[in-house]
Amino acid sequence: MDEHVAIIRVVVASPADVQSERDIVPDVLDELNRGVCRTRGVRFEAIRWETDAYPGFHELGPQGLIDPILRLDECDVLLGVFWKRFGSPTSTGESGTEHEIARAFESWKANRRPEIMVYFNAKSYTPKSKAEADQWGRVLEFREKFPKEGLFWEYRGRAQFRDLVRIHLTNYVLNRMEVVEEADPRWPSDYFAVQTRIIEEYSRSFAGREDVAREFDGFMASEPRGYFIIRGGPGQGKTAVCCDLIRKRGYVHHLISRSGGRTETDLILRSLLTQVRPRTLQSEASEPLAELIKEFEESLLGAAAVKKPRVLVIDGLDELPATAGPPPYLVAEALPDGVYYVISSRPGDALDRFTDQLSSIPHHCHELGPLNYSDMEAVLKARKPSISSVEIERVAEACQGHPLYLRAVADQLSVQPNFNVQELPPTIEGFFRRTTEFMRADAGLTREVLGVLSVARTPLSVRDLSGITGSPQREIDQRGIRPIRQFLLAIGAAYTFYHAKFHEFLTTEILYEDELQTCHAAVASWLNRPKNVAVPYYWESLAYHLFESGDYAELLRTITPEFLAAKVRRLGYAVLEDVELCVRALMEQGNPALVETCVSMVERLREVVGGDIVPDAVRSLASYRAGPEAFRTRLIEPRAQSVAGASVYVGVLPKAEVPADFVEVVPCGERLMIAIGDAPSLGLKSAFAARFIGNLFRQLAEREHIEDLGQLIARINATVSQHEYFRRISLQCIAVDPPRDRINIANAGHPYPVHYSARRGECDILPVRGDLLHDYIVRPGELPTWHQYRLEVEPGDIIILVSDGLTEGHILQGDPYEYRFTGVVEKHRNDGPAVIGEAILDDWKAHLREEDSADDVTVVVVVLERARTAR
Amino acid sequence: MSLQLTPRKVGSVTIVDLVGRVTLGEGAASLRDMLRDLVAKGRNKIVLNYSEVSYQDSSGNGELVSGFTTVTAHGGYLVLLNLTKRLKDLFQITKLNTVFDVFDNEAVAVRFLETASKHWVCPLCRHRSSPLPAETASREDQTCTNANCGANYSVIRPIESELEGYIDRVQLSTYPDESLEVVVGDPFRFRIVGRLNLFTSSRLEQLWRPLVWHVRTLLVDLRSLTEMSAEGQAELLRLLSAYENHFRCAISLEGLRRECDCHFPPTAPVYSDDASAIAVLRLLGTTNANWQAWTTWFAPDVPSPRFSSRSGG
Repeated sequence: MDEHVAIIRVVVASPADVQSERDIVPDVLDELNRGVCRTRGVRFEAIRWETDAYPGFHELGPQGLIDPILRLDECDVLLGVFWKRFGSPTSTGESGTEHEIARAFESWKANRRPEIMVYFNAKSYTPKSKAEADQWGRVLEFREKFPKEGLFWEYRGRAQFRDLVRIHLTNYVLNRMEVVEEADPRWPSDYFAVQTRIIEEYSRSFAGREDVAREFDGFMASEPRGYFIIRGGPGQGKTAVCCDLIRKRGYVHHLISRSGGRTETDLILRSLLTQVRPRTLQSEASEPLAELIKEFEESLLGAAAVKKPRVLVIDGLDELPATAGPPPYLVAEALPDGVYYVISSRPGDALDRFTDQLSSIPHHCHELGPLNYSDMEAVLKARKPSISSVEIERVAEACQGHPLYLRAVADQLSVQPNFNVQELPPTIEGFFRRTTEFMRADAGLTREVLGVLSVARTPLSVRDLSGITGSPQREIDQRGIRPIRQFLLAIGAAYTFYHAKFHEFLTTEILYEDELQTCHAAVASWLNRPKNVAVPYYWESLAYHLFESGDYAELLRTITPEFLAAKVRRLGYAVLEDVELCVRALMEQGNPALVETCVSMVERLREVVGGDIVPDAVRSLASYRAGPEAFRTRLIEPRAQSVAGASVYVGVLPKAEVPADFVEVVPCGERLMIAIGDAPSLGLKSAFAARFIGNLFRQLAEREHIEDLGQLIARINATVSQHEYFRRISLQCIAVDPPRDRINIANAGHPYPVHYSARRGECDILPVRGDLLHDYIVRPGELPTWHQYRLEVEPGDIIILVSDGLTEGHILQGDPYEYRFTGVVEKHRNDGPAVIGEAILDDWKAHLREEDSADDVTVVVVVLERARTAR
Repeated sequence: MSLQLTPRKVGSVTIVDLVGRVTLGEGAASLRDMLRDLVAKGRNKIVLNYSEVSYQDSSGNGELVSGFTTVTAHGGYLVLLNLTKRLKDLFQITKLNTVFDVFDNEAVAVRFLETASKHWVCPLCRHRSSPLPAETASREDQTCTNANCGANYSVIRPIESELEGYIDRVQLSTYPDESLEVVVGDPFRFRIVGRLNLFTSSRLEQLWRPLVWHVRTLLVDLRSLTEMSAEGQAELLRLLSAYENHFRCAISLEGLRRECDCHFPPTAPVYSDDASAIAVLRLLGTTNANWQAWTTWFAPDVPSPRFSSRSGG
């Protein structure tokens, strides 16, 4: 990776009365160096006489000594600051400051360099002597005679000075410096550019919400560390607020979004690491996730050590996919002093689960309310200066301060100035409905473009859309994009939806399932063209689009061993998504050689990467963390579907990047079928074997409705028992049947489940017995069988399924954790499944140990809801 | 470094010292050849000394398990000695720790194998027990190693027989510290210790079915019952009815705790005390001693257990 960093020299010129402003400049530069500068491969360097000059003599006096150090004709930015003093005369000017600014101006006239930014403190001042009056008068005179080519800026107080310098230098970087290109395939070249453009786009029309920044400053002043949560419903402007903070203050940031890979944990960690650490210390692209997490946490500790507040902005916690829980880069357990997170999220499970973890850590939730009238007026006037007060009132009445609605209307006014605001509907969905009315009966290009944008997992340009739809670019632009432009976010030349709410609206109200399938097929067909092989999206999502198109035959034809081999080289474990999609396609086709085909697929991949991505289990047996404090901070909490009368939580603390534990939760009518299991060892093979069994369970549960779970396990065993790959996998299946107050259980060598009885007020370990799948030790002449156990349950009862990583954790130290969590369950008996599950994992993590070298740890909690209709 | 294997004999036990790496290719193959060779020579009590093994890959794991099945299929046994910390970790993560007996002391390993020569057969599932010392006590408590069964049983070894033992008691655990239990006697006594509900009744039939071959009369003893759900009771009555052509049952309410609050239907064979229940059972059953014995086999080192019952029908 290219490590070249360009230096931007910033010279500070001022008289002595603004020393505190001079001292602020290096701090601001430091912040920007950690933030926006990283995206452009540059670094600011402050040059000040008080830190860079040295004692001596010069025929032109002190200024003669300072000038060669400041090298004004070679600097990039000159910051001039004045308040009440102009400075002492020098041999070449009325003051040193004036001399420096004059020389910089001469240089600018010759070379258009440096950028000269002059600030005047507008704070009121009354001179107390003639000398002071003279000094101030010369400042005012200098200001009046300021060159006509220039623009100076006023500020009031140090805080505003800090903000202004930050904003102006950020703009300087964004406007003058190109985005850094990266060569690493795991590191999309436009990654930072996308983030930067999103920030620019959201900040463009941002107005109001000043109370957020004020409240955050108050939070930082009152707490040594913590989480400042910006909570708001869809379209309330969470991202815009975050972008405004990032732009104005240069905070380290990540904007989570489903497009462009911005939900991928390792990519996010690399992004944050790149911003918080010098580039020379940046991680290798191939570094395992565990190492990245460790490095990231250490970098935060490093930040704490220098006693400067470090702020990280994470936008869109709720946008993380269902398979991910609170991510490792939020380090809730071990947040060092001086580190603050600003996190935005919709209300909901993801946020609740996250805030539940913060009980002992300072945090504050800012609820984004509606915009006030003056904010709305400012936004609308910016788009349509001629808008009447009656129209503003009508828009304000209709949108009720909803920022997304306001923006949509403002954008509509931009493209259609005669838009009749008197007919605005009362909700944003109503507005969507009205403005997309023309598409309902239309099967034309707009609908097609919307469909393609809906299914794509990345922003698409007009050129891309033209390639996908086969329509000329001009038509795409005029008939496809323009009618819906107000709903689109432009990221460079590419488009995606401005807001997830519109995406939801489209896929639930406008577009039909078969249309979306057709769009997936079109994207897949486009990606499959030879020229697109170099595009990262081809590797990331070709299999996904083929699978979603429903054309399984084409998927299996296209996703060849060669494709998978190339993908595993480029994207490592990401290849497992393709393998899983192929497995599901083969299952759908009822392929008789299912197991052999799938195994040979994975074996070829293992050959490509030399045995495995984790070459051998022993390598991964190195301690996950050096010490217990930050022990296994990565928790995966996939969102599990449920049925009426039961709620479910699934939590996994993975040992390696991909777990060999697996959980499937399958609603089947009134019953909820759950499988939990564990494949031995680590790596690609184990992860595949685990996912394969999980998919097989899902298919049998959904399609064949096998009532007896013992038979269901026997069926799975019969399918996999011919292959060494599936030896000694444990599997436990339960069927929760709330209407009948019944749970059926069968077990193939998995740790026993636990039942908390609300009536008895205590937990029972249920010794549900059964052999492992495809066990080594087969009794001659006997076919393995599994017995189904049945359990009576009542509302308020709780079932806990765990993996042996939990029960056998620390067994080698002679003190396994076993079933100590039963006390935790009894204590949290009135809480929801997520609270119980996380409390169990917390208890496990707190268990005394020498090191963590065991296994994946998985917990599934099912709570039979108390309030439900009697059968 | 390729794997070096050096066998040495300690009494009837063979200790193989391994030095090097057990990996794909020569290392794993030589281990396989060594184990087959030993078994062919009748040396089937084997200790593999891992103290000088630095690494074992998945091929090595495969060969080790394959060797274990070869040795046990020939009536022998294989144990591991002196696993390094790293290998213990590996065995845990690959779950091989559940397959092998592992020792840290050579003398203990040798003593275990020297005395381990025979196996009892589980009266419920017919699974062979772990190897037993040749010289056994007159009454032995065993736990079935079959993951599906896990029965605890006591065997009384008669002086006159080397191969046969009498079952004294069979117990299937339901919840921790709760169980279903059959105590051999006249009549056989079936005890419910703890709860009888739908969950524990899932184990009921596992215990009930083998009784067909051994029992003529059975007294259901509810003294240690702590709780009986409607579904548990229904399951018990279903079994009484389903097996009534094979053996006779009577339920005694003697000692039943008041809080259990059991109400059996009038058709159920329920009696207020043991004496009444036993009197009825004696009228219905037989006093032939053969019917009141439950035997199992003391299986010597043979490839697979054979099932046989002394009782006739």
